[in-house]
Formats: sequence, C-alpha cells, structure tokens
Amino acid sequence: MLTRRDFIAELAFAGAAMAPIAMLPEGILAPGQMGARAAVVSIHMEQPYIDATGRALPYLPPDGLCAGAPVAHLSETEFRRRFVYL
Amino acid sequence: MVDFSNQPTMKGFFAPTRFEADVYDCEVVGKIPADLNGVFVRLGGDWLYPPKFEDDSPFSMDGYINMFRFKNGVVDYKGRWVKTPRFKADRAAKKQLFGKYRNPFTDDPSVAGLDRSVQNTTPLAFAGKLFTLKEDSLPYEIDCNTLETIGPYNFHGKYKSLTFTAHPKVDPVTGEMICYGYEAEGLETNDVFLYTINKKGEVTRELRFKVPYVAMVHDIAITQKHVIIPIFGFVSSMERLKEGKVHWGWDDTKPAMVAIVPRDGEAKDIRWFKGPSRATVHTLNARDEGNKVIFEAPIYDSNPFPFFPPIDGSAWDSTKARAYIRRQTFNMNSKDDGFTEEKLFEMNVSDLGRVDDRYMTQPYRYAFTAYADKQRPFEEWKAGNLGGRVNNCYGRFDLATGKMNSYFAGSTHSVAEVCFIPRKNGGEGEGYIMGVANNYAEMRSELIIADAQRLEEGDVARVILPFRATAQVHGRWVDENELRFA
Ligand SMILES: [Fe+2]
Repeated sequence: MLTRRDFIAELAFAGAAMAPIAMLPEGILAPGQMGARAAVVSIHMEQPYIDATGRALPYLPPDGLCAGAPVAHLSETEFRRRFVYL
Repeated sequence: MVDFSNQPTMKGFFAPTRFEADVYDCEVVGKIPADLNGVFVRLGGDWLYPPKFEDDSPFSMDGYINMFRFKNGVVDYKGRWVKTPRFKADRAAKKQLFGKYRNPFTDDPSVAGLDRSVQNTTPLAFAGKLFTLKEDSLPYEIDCNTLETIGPYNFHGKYKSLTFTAHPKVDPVTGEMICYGYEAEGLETNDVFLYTINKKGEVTRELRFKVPYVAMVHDIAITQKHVIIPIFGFVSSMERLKEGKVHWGWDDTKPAMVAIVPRDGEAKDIRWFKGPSRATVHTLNARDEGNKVIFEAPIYDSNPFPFFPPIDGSAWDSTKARAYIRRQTFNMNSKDDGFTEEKLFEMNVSDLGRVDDRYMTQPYRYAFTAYADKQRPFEEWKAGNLGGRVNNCYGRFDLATGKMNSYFAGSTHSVAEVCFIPRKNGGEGEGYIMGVANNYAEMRSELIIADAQRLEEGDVARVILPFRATAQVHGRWVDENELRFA
C-alpha cells in the first residue's frame, strides 16, 4: 500500500515535475493553477487518493467524527425521551 | 437476526455497543494518583435487542455493568452484560420478548411469570458483596472480579420485599444500610418495607407501612434519627398497565409528599408532610437540628421524564423539567403538614448530585453535581450540534457560602454523573471527583479524574477508552478493601 510517508518521499524525489501542484496546509494536494486536467490528490487516514482526471474535489476529512449529529435535530421532548442523563 | 436499522436515533454516539470488553492497562493522559486503589464501577443500559415499542422508556434497556480497576497507578477496564433471566430469554429467542417499562401485560406470552427486571440503575458494594440494583426487583449479586452475574439476593431470606431500591443509604456512623422496597408486595401495591441491615449483611429491623398513593419512590435521605422519603406525581395503576402503557404517568394534581420516618419508630409514628407539585427523584443529604429535619436535594419543578407522560394528555413541559438545589425544613413539633422550602442556587443542575458520603446524616458543606454551561465553547463542527443541551461541567457547590467551583470537561464532551472519592484522613471535600465523559469528536469515552479542591485546574488524569462505554445511570467508587479484589 502506498502510504503518505512514501508518497511525500516520492513527491520530493519527483521534485520539479510536480512543482506546479499546490500543497494545501492540511496535507491535501489540489489542482491549484494547473488547470482542469491536473491530478487531484487527497490524503486520508495516511493514504493518498489520486484522481487522475482532475475532475474530482479533494476529500476533506472532518475535524471530528460529529458523533452527536444524528440526534442533534431532535426536539427537546424527543431528545429527552431517549437521553435522560446527558 | 437483530436489526437496528429502523431505529433512527440509535446512531452515531448513541448506537448500541452490545459487546463485552476487557482493556488491560488503559491509555492515560496525565498521572493516576498513587492513593487511588479500588474500582470505579458503573451501571447503565444498552439494548441487546431493540425495544418492542417505540414509546418505551430508556429505563427498559438491558443492564450493563462496567468497571475501571485502579491498582498501583494502572487502570484496567471490564464491561459485561448483567445476565438476568430476561437477558437470557431474549438471547435464546433472538428477539425482544419484553414490552414496556414495568408492564408485564405488554410482554410476549412465552415469558409470563419470568423475572422481567433489567439491572441497569446503581451498583452497590455492601457487606463484602457487589450488587446491581433496580427498583423493581431484588438486588443481583455480581462477581467483583469477573463482573459475571451470580443472581438475585435476599439477605439470607430475611429481606421480604419483592423489590429493592436503587438508592440504599449507608450510615457512616453505624455502618448500617437503610434500604427499602416499594410496591413491596407486588405490582401496584401501596406497601413500603423499610429495612436496616447491619454491616455483616444481616437484617436487623423491618418496618412495613403504606404510601398515600402508588408512586415512584426512587431515593431517600437519612439522618441519625429519621428517614426522609419523598413521593411525587409519578403515579400508576393496574388499569393503565392493562391499557398497555408504561408503568408511570405524571399527575400534576398530586402534591409532593414527604414521609419522615423515625429510624426506631413504628408505622404510627410516621409523619406525612405535603407541599406543592415537585419531583424529588434524587437526594443529597439530611440532618437533624433540634426538633427540625433539614433535607437538601436537587429537586425538579415538575415532571423530568417525557417518556412518563402527563396522564391528562397534555404535552410534557421541558421548561419545568429543571432541577435546582433546594432545602426543605420539616418542623417535627408542628401541628400541620406544611414545610418550608428554599432554593439554594439559582442555576439548574443535574439531579444526580453527590456529597462526601462520610458526612451523610451530618452537617456538611459541599455538594457535587454536573451542569450545562452554555457560555463554554462547544465545537459543533467536530462533535455535532449538541451545544447547550448536554452537561459539560462538574460543579462543587458550597452550601455555606453559595459559591460554585467548576470543572469543564472539554469542547466536544458531555459528562455523566459525578462521583466524589475522599482522600484518606482528609477533611470534607478533600479528594477527587471522577466521572465518564462522552467525546463526540473522537467517538470514545474518557474517565475524568480531578482534584475536588482544584476543579478549575482541570484533570489530574484522564483514562482514554478506545470506544464508547455503555451509557451510565449511576457510578460508585469501591475502595480496595471493601471487596475481595484479585
Ligand atoms: Fe437514581
């Protein structure tokens, strides 16, 4: 499996060839100024994902797992009907 | 086969976990205090199978006991289902056979007559044994090392009530346990059996009396001379059970009543006091002062539980489901049935409050409980938008000065009931607070340990579980010497 560490190492080696691809602060490579045909590269869970068509949006992992979200829409009555001591 | 796909609110952090677990040498952030040896044992519920009825109470969840074992600065975690006859029957049938909360008329006919209790409320260590407690049945004895279920326990046949409270009180002066069962002679009976059990586990006293109406009697308080027993508007009847309803409905016309029972008296000596509609589900402490009985508790304005709805068909009112720390004073020389009430703090709090148990029945200063501080940050983009709806802080409430000190659990967290653990030979309130937090950003549970006198400084240590621990109702600290731990 290609890991982020290996991928970054390859990237450094490739050097000038990859230079036009912008590196975003979150570790995500995006089309940048390359135009529509540049590869879209995302890294999630240490693994790079590459869309060679350049048409995909890079995957942005959430800051957290939002584990409260599935019940956040409930009315107060419906919420307390299920979760007594939160 | 089990199917939770049609349970839209059992998702994310609130999806059933259902597994039994052992984690050896848990990850710890910070340092476990060297003087913490024993276990923090928690009891709560999870669904082995989904409920038969959508409008059932979460108090019908199958019991699940879990503990954090502290030994020489290292913490192990263990979690087990409480294997009641009900659990075993469901497991054998591979489906939910039991109906609504404390209503056997809604069960599958195949389980008629079976003990339908789920042991999901309070753990108790007493007389060298570990128990799970649920107020509709006898205690269940649990092996304190394996957490495997041994079975129902009746104190050598001397405990005659069919039910046992989730909130017995152990007198720190005598070591005796004051405990009781209500609906003691069976479903919908108005009998209460009140017991004293000595520290060897022997029943030394039984007092039988009747309540004015069949009502929830969830918690009590004790003084050196009296037992304080609040009842309030959660009512029940055989008719409502036969109509297929949950055990309790809320009757706003019922006065809150408080029985003051002399610990060495008879049923004829009981005084019933009457006040405005309230819900005193849990208590803090009580004491005698001359001819007065002083009782403090986080008391709700009205019905706290929407799953036990008003019997008049009106909507549950969330604005009245707020608990405030209050003091009620009962004059034992009075000729009428009135009492006085004061609100000690203006902020509403979780009613799962605790005190330094060494001061039970005595004058005391500090109460601990959780509360929701809406001014604290809640990072909803990481945790989901629960901000303001969940308790995110523990408070130490100083009843002498009215001051509150606060511990904040984190911007993606909520907290379960707090527990206070005294430092050996320390004064009141010297020790640690402990409680489990849900971390909605990381989808895991974290056990918080903080210095009870330095709450603003944050954790002393935090035990990290790599998963969600089962939801808790009550948790208790059990010292190394209280049970025969391996
Ligand atoms: Fe309780």
